[in-house]
Amino acid sequence: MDSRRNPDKLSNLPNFLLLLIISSLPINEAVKTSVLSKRWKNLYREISMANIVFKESEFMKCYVSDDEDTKRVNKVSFVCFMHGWVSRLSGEVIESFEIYLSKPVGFVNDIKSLIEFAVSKQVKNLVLDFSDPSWITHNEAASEENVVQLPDSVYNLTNLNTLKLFFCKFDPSRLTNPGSLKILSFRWIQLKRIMSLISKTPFLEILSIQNCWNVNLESITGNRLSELVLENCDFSVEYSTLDLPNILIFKYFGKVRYFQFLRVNRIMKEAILDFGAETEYDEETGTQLCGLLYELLSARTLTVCPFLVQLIQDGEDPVKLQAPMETRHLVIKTNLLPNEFIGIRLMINSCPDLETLTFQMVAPRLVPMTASRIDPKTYWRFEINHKCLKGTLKVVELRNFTGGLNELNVLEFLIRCGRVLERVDLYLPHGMEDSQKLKARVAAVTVSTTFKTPSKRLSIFLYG
Amino acid sequence: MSSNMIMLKSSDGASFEIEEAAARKSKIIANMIEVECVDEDKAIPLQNVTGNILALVIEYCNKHIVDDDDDVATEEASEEEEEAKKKKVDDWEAEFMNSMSLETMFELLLAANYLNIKSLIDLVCQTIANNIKDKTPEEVRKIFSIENDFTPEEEEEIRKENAWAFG
Repeated sequence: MDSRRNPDKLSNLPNFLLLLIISSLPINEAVKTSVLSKRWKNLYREISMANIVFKESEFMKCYVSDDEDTKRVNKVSFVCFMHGWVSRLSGEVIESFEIYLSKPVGFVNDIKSLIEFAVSKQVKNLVLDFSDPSWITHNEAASEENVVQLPDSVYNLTNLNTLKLFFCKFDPSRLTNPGSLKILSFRWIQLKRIMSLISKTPFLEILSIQNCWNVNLESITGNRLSELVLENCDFSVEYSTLDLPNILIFKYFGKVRYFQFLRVNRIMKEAILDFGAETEYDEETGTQLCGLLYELLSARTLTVCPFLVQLIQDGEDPVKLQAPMETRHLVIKTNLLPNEFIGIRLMINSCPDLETLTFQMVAPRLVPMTASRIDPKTYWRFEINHKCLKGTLKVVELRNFTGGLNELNVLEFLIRCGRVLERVDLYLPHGMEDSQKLKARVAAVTVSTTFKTPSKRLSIFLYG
Repeated sequence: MSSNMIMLKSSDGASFEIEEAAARKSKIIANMIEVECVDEDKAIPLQNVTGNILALVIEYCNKHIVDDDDDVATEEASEEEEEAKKKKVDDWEAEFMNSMSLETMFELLLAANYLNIKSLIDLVCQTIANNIKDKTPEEVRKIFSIENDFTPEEEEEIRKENAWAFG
């Protein structure tokens, strides 16, 4: 058999089948497969029963499912597969146990017995995801029948390190030994009693709450908490008090919300404020957003959204924030519309040490939120300079570049004033039509040939 | 025993008749029989198994249904008899696996996994594993057409890391 001309069908098998094959080998032979190719390098490590990950989506990749009947059969096959895998295991402890299975209706007892198996092996990291990947808002999850109830034994686990629960019935107040938890993540769950859990987790490092409702998050006081993610939740309390002396990463997505900060770490890595499709605001909103940025001023990387850049000028000072940000990389999600210009300039002006500035063009709102008296043609021509343009700003990125007039005006300004600018990187959006691509390419040529710069070593690139 | 026959239909439309007891070696088919109350004259569609692979699966199930029945019936069989029987099955399995290409084996593994026939999964995995065992990585790469995408330095690094296994 001349095998050299054949494609490598073995390596193309999904991981879970390769693992079955590797586990049929004596241990030293299993280890030897690590040298075959990059695909095999770390596979053998997974055969130790310490980490078990059951992903429906991985499994479904190998089998067609064109109609509902087949989908159902495939699901049964996946559930049998999980049982089969578990029955092969013989060790005493499991480090991690993860199940990802959407629409679990009809498999409740299977799921229960799998979870109980993990509990009997004193699992330390438990990840259970029964959500539907097509969901967008928590209303969809709330209207779906939530069938998976965690078995009682889960609540009595000791030494639990990580708990991630997506769409299952869970009562946070019932965990009897939450003290060892380091990572907590909830999604698509009602979290009425969340306070009684997080008040008992002194070692918590990461807390993530996404698409949850009735979230009774009164306060977070975590001396060790380094990462906090709150995304598109419906809170049942007016505001949350945050005491975050060691926070490194703070990500907030959703409606504008008031946070009362007691302490905040002054060397933060990253902050994201994305108010998404929020449309409600009043005369206080600008000041409130300024206050939030003040608390996060040490963030090395900061991401802001169109809502924020439109309203930030309503704060106390329309040209700068109350204190300079320490941000090195500023990401502005924007439509580059005139009603965002003052806010964009205010942000650039308020980041005196900025090294990289990214504009990420996003889908425009259907209804413009604020009106603007600015003339987009002349706004960026004024000779106003900002500290970062004189000394630190080296890279400007524009993602989803289409060559629109406003994009060019902003670029022209930054190139004209950026004394130490080294690179301007323009990225075309994915799946762009050819005619639009051409327009963007022509615009990119204009940028690189006609825009004047004081910088000695500026290169301009177009990607994609 | 009853010889209730059922029909299976492959993804490419081929129909196969099989004893229900043999078909039940597949947990998936067993589940379908129970849940869907399969009509006697209606074939069970198996969207993820082609005809040539399904034929192999059925050959395997037919062979093993007999053995499984024997297991129950001959609890008092002498050790020698057991031994002889086991050898007979082993020989049949070795012959069965020998008759197919590696490529067919992979397809059979995917099908066995899908239909959830534990003993067949084990058999195919073990046979593929035997092609890896006691061979140098170069030999294994050649057998399975695995392209070595490591630089010599990277490969040396991995060998050093697990020197004990490479002996």
